[in-house]
Amino acid sequence: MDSERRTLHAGAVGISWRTAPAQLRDQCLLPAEHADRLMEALRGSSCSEAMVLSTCNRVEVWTASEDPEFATRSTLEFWDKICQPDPKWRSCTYIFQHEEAVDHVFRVASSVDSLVLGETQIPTQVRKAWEQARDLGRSGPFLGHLVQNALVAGKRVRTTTRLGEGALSVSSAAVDLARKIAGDLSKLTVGIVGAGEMAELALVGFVRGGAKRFIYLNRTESNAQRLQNIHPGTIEPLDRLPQALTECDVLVSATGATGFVVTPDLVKRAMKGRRRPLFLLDIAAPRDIDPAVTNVPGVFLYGIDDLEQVVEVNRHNRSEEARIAERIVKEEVERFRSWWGSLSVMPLVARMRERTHALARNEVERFLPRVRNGSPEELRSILDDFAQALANKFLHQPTTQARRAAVDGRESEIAAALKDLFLNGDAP
Amino acid sequence: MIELTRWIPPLAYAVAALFYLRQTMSPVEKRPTSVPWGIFATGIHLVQIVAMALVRHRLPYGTMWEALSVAVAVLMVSYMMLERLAKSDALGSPFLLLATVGSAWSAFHTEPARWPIHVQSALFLTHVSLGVSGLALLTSASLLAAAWLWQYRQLRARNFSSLSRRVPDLVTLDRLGIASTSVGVVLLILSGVIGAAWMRTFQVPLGLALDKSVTVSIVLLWNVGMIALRQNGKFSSQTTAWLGFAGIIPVLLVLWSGTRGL
Repeated sequence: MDSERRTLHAGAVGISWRTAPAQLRDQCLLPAEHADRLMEALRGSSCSEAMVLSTCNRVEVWTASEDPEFATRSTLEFWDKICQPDPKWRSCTYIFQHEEAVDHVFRVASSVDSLVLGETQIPTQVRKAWEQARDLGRSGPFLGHLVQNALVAGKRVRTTTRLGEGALSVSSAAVDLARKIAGDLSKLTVGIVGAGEMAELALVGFVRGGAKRFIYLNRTESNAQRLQNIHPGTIEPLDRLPQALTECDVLVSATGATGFVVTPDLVKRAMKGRRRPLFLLDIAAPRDIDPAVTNVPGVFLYGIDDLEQVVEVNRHNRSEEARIAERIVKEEVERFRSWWGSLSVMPLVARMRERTHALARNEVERFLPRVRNGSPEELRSILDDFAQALANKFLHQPTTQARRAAVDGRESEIAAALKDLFLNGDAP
Repeated sequence: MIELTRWIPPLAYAVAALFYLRQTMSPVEKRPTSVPWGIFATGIHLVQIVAMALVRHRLPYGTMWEALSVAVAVLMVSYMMLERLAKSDALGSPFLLLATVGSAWSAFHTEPARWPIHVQSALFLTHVSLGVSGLALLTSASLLAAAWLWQYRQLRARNFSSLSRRVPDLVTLDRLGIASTSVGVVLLILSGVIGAAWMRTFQVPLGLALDKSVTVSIVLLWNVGMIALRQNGKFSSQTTAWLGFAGIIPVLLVLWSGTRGL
């Protein structure tokens, strides 16, 4: 450990479902390339380490720096330059520094701060964000340990509490809603637009919910093939979306497109002469479905934000489990803080060990000529002398410093330190 | 003494409605229906109808008020079936409240002074039985349509309340509503045909049943038209639900005309 690490402080700046609507969060999104740009920009502004977590529910930048205030200012400035969101975005951000930031990271990684308590997606997202920073050379020992410990806390929360039991992940909450609108999922046709991670999660949710008929719409057939490997379905090119809309009872959109994929005109045409309701779920960031489609009768559009209310009851019912989870997170945060605190003496310990080894090596060199031609009796006497000499060398510095401290009137202070270091805390 | 038993069904329905209401408002997500209050109340009502029939040595169709009591029992039997089909008891309280009002309304009225020979025929029994069943099912369809409209508004407004979670999904409500309407219409048509045969057999003057015939025709036209236009794709589910909900008005007209006629 070098001396730099001792002075690092955690910082977290973010915008999440708690503080900003989806529209504003969309503008602040930091996809991989933007995240890389931001992390690179922070390299030159006293941020020793930085990583970006960008999910559909939150976008956060975690830093380790000597000056967290400056790191925060820089983060906001670069973020603003890269995304150029609505000017009011800053009022929707939250800033944590020092211990609060550590606490926040643990809460996020443990899904205690999630829209859906106990959800299982966030650990993967945190790990991937950290790997991205590591690959870019922007995550060092501090963030590495912070994230790893936070993930351990998350694992403990999931295994020792029932927080995740029956937890409505974003996709499974959507499945419940789809069922409420369109009825028995086994009789429905579910269309999935996009083939990314969110699309996969939605697919798994609907498969678990009992859906059987799927249409996968994607620009690239090979990507859609991945979804077909999870569950059989029809693969269609994205330009077949208008036809697919007429067939589907549920359409989940999770593409990486920057504009709207599903427009009101498209939906109006699909609903012509149709009596069945159409459930549209937009889990893309930025959004894929124009909110104006809700003006079409029989169309139900939900986004990530809308699922908040669905999971609220779930949140309430699991408040006891949440309290246990909070306690676990607190314990794990304390463990991390103890570890981090111990790092301040690590350079001193390293220097002490280095000096001791050097002393030992010198003594070995000094006694070596006497050992070469000695008899067993002489060898015993030599080893005895060697041990005495080594002990004297080791204790010379502490003894001298103890005497000097006594002369300076610091005898009780040095006595306590010596007792802790050499006498295992026992009284002499 | 037996006359007092007429008040037992409304009381039983009121108690059952309260239990259902309490259960519906309960914040607990999964609460078992430990006591089938609806079945108890309906069972008590059916026993009361049979007991009255036995004591009076005649069918419980002496007046439209008596028929109303039977219609309420049929409505509750149909609800019990709906509860099983929809796998939800969230609609129990409105059905039971309606049953309470209906049975209480019936209980307010005493038995007829006379029991003419022509109403003792098997044709009359079949006609009225089918009629009250048809009207009960159409009332049930109207309540289901109301539930559909409520649920539709809740979901469109993204109001995911606890009650909304318990009320059946839109597709189920729609399907059950249309099924109730269809069966109700068929029963009512059969009732009308048999009623016409009965009138012809016993030479009952048409003037006695004119109001009823007109109002029943309105009910049939309303519902048949609604189903036909829906099947034709002219109406959306929402329009159908509004018409289904408003279908309670012609049903009440039949009841009104019936109480004034034979």
